[in-house]
Formats: sequence, C-alpha cells, structure tokens
Amino acid sequence: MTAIFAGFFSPYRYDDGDIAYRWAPPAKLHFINVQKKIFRPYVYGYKVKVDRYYRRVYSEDRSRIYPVKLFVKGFRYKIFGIFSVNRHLFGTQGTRIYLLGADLKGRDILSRLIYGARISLSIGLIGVTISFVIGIIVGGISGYFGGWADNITMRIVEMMMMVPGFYLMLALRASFPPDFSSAQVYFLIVVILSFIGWASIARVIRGMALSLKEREFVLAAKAIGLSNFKIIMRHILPHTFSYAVVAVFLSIPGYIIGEAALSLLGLGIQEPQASWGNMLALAQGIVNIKLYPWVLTPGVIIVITTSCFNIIGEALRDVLDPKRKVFQ
Amino acid sequence: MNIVETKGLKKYFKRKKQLIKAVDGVDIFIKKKQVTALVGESGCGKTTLAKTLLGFYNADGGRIILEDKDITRIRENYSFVRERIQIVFQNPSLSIDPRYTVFRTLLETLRVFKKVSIEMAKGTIIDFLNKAGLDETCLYLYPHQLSGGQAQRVSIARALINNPRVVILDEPTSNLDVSTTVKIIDLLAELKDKESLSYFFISHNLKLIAKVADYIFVMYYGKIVECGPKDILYRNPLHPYTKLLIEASEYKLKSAYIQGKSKEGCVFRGRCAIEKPHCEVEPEAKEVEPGHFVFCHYI
Amino acid sequence: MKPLLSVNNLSVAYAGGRIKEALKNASFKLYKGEILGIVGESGSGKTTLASSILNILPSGTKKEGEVIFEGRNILKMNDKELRNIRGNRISIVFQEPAASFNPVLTVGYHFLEFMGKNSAMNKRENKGRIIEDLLRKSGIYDTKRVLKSYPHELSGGQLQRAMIALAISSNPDILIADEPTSSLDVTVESQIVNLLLELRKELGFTILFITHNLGLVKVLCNRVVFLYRGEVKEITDTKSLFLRPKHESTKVFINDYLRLVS
Repeated sequence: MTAIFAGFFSPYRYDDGDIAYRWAPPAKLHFINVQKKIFRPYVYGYKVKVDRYYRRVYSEDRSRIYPVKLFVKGFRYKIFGIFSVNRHLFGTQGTRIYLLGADLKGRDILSRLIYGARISLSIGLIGVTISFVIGIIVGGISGYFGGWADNITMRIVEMMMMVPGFYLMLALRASFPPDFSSAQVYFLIVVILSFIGWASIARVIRGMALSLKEREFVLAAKAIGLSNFKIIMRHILPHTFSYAVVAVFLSIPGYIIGEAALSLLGLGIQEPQASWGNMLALAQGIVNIKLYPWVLTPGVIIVITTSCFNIIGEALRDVLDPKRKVFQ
Repeated sequence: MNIVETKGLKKYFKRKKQLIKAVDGVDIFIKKKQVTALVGESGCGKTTLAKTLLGFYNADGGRIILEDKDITRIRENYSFVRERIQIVFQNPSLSIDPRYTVFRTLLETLRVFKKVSIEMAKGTIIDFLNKAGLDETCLYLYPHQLSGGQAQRVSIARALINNPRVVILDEPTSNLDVSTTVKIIDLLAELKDKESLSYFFISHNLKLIAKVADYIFVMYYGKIVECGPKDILYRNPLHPYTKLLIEASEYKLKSAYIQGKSKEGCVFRGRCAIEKPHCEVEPEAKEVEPGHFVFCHYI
Repeated sequence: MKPLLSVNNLSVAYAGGRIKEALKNASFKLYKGEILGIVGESGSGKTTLASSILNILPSGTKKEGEVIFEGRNILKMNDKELRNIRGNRISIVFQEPAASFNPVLTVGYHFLEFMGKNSAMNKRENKGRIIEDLLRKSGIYDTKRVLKSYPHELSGGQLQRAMIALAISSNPDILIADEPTSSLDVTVESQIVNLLLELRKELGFTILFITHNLGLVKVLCNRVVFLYRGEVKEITDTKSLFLRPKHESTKVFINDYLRLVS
C-alpha cells in the first residue's frame, strides 16, 4: 500500500538530495518538549562540523525547533499518474527531516525505501505471476498428454534447472547493452526472472497432472465428451491451485532477492531510480557500514519482507492442506 | 438388434518389456433394450474393454461397431460416440469432481453438446435428478456431502442427461451397502424401460448378474470363454471356468486353484480340470445351443 | 455351558470432532468351538466391536462395559497381559491383507518377528520348517518364494493366506476375522472360507466372523449377532435368522439380501 501511494508517504522525491546534508544520521524524533509543553513531534536542525579527519560530524542544533506536521505541502507527485497532488503524510518546513538518515547524496533513505519498494516488490510479484502462469500451463499440458511431448518438455525443464540460476541471470543481463533506459531495464529484469523461474513449478504441476489424469472424475469428464483443453483447464489445473498458491508465496522472496542482487551489482535498476538492491550498493565497504550504519536499512527491509512472505506461505499451506478435517 | 458389436477387439499394454494382452481378440455384442453382462474377476480385462469401447484407449486390433457404424478410430467419431454411449463408474464419490456442486457437474455435462442458458438448464437438470430419485435440495451440495447412494444417483443422472442409447455400468454397486444396492438396481431397471436404454453391466458378482442380466459374457484374462442367455447359461454352464465361478459363488470351491494366465493356447490351461494335450491350440467358439457359445475343445 | 468370551454392555465412542457413538450397550457370548457371525451394514459398528475385543482402539476412545476372557476384563488389562492375549490367545485377520503387512519387509521377516515374541517358539531350532508348514497348511505351496517376497509382489489371496498362517501360528483360542474376504475375488474368497473351516476342524479354534454378506453367514456361521447402528438387535442361530427374523431392521436386511440373489 505504501508502495502504491509512495508519493504520499514519502516526504521527498527519491532523487532529491541536498548535498549539504550528505550522510546525515537519522534524526531523532522528539515528542515531548517539557519547556514549551508541546506534545507534537518535532526535530532539531542539523549542525555540521568538519573534524580534523575531514569527516562531517553531525549534531543536533537545539536552537530551533522544527515541528513535524502532518499533511504538509511538499513536492508535486501524481497518483496513478493522473491526479496531481502535493500533500504528504508528514514533513517539515525549513529543514530536512531524515527519519532514517541520508545517503551520500543527501537523499532521504526513508523516501528512497518507499519508492524502492515499488520497484522491488512489483518486479517480484510480476515476475512470479508470469513464471507461474507459464509453468502451470506447460506442466499441466505436459503431464496430461504424456508421451514424447512430456518427455521432451521435462528434459528441457531439467536442463534449465541444472544451470545455476544466479549465473544464468547475470549472463542473460550481460547479453544486453548496459545502457538501457530505466523502463527497459525494468522490463528486462522481469523477463529474465520469469525465464529462470518457470521450470521448477512446471515440474511439480506436471507430476500432479500425471496423477490427476487417472482419477475417476477426469475419466468421467472425458466420458461425457469434454475436450482435452477444457478438461485440463476446468478439472485438472484447479486441483493444483492450492499447491500453486503456496508455492507462489514462498517463491516471491526469491524474485525480490534476485532483483536486489542484480541491482546491487549495478546490472539492475540504475540510479537515480531507487530499488532496495541499488540502495544496498552504497552499503558496500566496511567504512560506510561503520560510519553510516543506516544505509543497511534496505537490507533489513528485505529480510522483513522475505520473512513475511514465508510466514504467509506457510500459513496458507496449513489452511489449504486437504487433509484438514475442518476444510473437508 | 445389436446396438454395439466388437469383432476381435484387442488392447495390449507394454509394461517393463512385457506385453500384457489385456483384451485379446474379444467378440461381444450389446443387444438393444437389454442388459448385457460381462462377468470376470479382477485383472481379466473387463474395465480395459469398457475403456476401449468408449475410446479412452485406441484399440490395437479388431473393430468396434456402434449402430452399424465402424467407430474403431475413435478420434474421427468422437461426438458420435459420446452422444450415444455413456458410463457410470464404480466409485460414486470419486467419479464426480469434488470441487463442483451437483448442479455444476450436470450443467457442464449438458453444455457439452448444446449451448443452454442457466435457466433452461436448471429445468432439465432437476428433471433428470428427479428421474434418478433425487430432489432439488441436493443441487448445490458437494460430492463429499452426499451419501454413496446419492452420489451414484447423481452419476446416473449425469450419464443420462444427454439421452444416450447405451450405458456402460462398471461395477456400479460394488462400493455400496446392500440396502442401497437394491435401490440402485431397482432404479436402473426402471430407467431402462422408461428411457429405452441398453445396458452393459460389468461385475465380478455372479449372483447380482444372475439377477439383472439378460445375456452374459464370461471373461478370463482377456478372452471370452463362454457366453449365452442367462437362463441357459445358469442351467447349463459348460466351460470349466464358468463352472468354477458358479461353484465359488456358492462357496463350494475348495481346491487350491490359482488365478493366472497360460502363456499360449487356451487361456485357461494349467488350471483346467479337463485339460488335454490339444489345449495347446486356442479353441474356437462352438455354438452348443442357440445363442450359447463356448470356447473349449472338449465340450 | 460357560462362554469362552463374554461381551457385556460394551459402549464405544470415538473422540475427534463430533463424538461418534460406534457401539451402544452391546452384549453377547461366544462359546467354544462355534463360528459366531457379527453381521450388519457398513457403519453398524462391526469393526469397532472386533477392535474392542482386542482393545486396539485409537487412544482417546471412550469405552464402557466389559470384555471378559478367562475371568478377566480385556478392557482393563495392562500392557503385559494384553501382549499375552493379542496374537497369542486371540488372533485377528483384517480385511485388507496388503495393509496388514509392512511394505518394506518381506513376508518371511514378518513371520520371524511375529513368532519371535513367543518365547517358546524362539527356542526351537527348526523355525524355518515350522513356518513353511504353516504356509502349506494355509494353502501356499511355493513357500520359499513367498517367504522371500515383499507384500506388493503377492496377490491378495496369497497375502490373506499368509495372514491366516500368521494368525494361527500360536494356536489361538479365538480367531477374529474382520471381513477377511471383502476385497478378494469370489474364487479366492470361496477357498479362504473353506480353508478357515478346515483349519478350525484341525486346530479347534473358535471363530468370530464379521461380515455384511449374508451368503457367507449361511455357509459359515452357526449363530449370528445382528448389529444395526451400533446396537445389537438380534442374536440367534443362522436358520432362525433367515426364517424368523424378529426385529424390523433385521427383516429389512434379510429382505434386501434375498432380493439380490435369485
């Protein structure tokens, strides 16, 4: 949700950086001001000093209070590409609020995380959907018809599964020119991920189709005269859905990480677009991690998101288990 | 008179380099408006025969004739066959898609051959459910919510809804209680007369076949060994295997007879009480009485 | 005459979701040397009855009443006493022979394991010959091959014969047969039924035969207990059951059977 309405939730654009504030640490959000008895959230401004190692040291400038307001005016963005709005959930006037710190160009990490979520999550979801649709259809047809077509298809599937996914992904990406536009790169990544992923689901669905096609209700469907296509679509594949749904949820993290890996290496989403992967690129090097640990937040987010999908997937698997008496 | 006939029908399977002759040169016929029965023990090929008749398998030899039309090449005659021959399976709750309600199952069947709106379909569906002894209350139930008898009635309604001429009944009551069996058998008899159907009744239960059949084929490992009208066959069973079956159905069979098939010659060799050297050669049909045929050298 | 086994007011209810009352107040007596039939439709409680006698019901099942054998209540026995009864004094043959054998062990192994627990058996040297004798008694003649085979390599009939051989190996007092032939072809069924009669003549055990097939009852049993929905409706000798059924449900059951045989 946050990702869809990214503009609303982010105080800043993903590419809006203020160099003056580069590598700023996360601002402490204060809620209680004893002196003035204010109970609204506020931050202090940043005071910058350069120490003898030419590092920038930030501290709070307690001279001025900048209240954090809700529904403030900020940069213009479009909802669904149609409505032009300029209200945001929260923000400050007069200074920058970096709730999760800033990166080397002074861009707000939180905002970039939110915009990045759009890209990383959508690539994951779209990639999975395409993979699974292809895999289920191929698996279903292969398993149902059997014979030489099934044999050939399965050998192809096995060959695809043999190649280590990650290297295949790199190879595919490298075979395209490095200077694609953002949109092209995005599209390319989705295609590559789908291409790698359909094989394993195809094999499982093919196994299920193979056993389902001998069940009596499938024979009955044949007996009343249904065409093969309708039998596969209406009787065989629906019985694989409970497995497929669980598999989908458990696979999405793989796709998200796949995209992150590509972007981390610079082969994926390019700057200035944000994706969790290319944000993590800035977290390389022990110096950066030691001095600006907040650059690791994208990693934390990936872990949390991955865990969420896994948990939902496992829960679904228990709910959809056909041996559950309650379900029957 | 014969609505379905097979001549020399063959269906072989290759399993692990062995050729299994499931149906090996079978001549049967299904008479119009009668109950033709096929009796045999497990593994004799009766279900394979039924599936080949329906075209689930392509025959490896011989011919199938339906209403005087040669339908051996099933692909070319798909809808012709499906409109005329239907089947009721053994296990009622397994032969209906567990994810479909009764209504949807029957609707789908109805729509195979004609485009009907849901309104029109509903009328026909309720009509056939009534014929099968069910009422509207089960329209939106799922198979697991039905009893065995009810599920079998739905199966019967589904088989009849497109007005076939022939219905193959593959052990339709073997999974049912005694009391339910009685009701289903009565229902089938009633429907046969009302809807002018011809039945092909497959079973291993001799006593049941004795009750329902008009004409009986006895099958043993892919071959017909004897066939005849019910009364004549029971009064005068001639083939050693038929006699064995009748003896067994009265629990009088004691000797250690082992099921199995001989490698060549008469299919009953090696188990036969009256075996002689000439049994190395496959026997031909002998018409002993009108309509009563035996496949044995020594009758 | 004192009964060999006495079932008094046995009530069994299965736990799990809705409590299912499988048996309500069932009572009957089994006398030495007879073949008693337990008859009813599926779901009438026959298998529950068989399992109760050997106390092999799933844990959590509620049991009330008594099953008295040699003066003691089987339902209240401890493990040691039960081990002495099961497979030893009272044996059981189930409906699905394939399910009664462990699919990854050979038939021969089952015999060794089963007879091994009987310490008297263990000490005898010629165990192999004893096992082969048992198989031959049950109508299996290629004993060496059968002993080396895995359950899936044998037919239903052969497995059931092996099961019977196992069951009689300890010379039990009572043999419970729970629909032993329902999944077998009729030729095999007939042979197994006659085998049981022969073995009984030779070894003298008492049979408790459970079935829904009245044809078998006519041939095998001298007395019958008729169950309907978990309750004993009638106990009588076979002839009277067919000629003069007293209870309504019995009459319906007999009529249905008669309608299906000509």
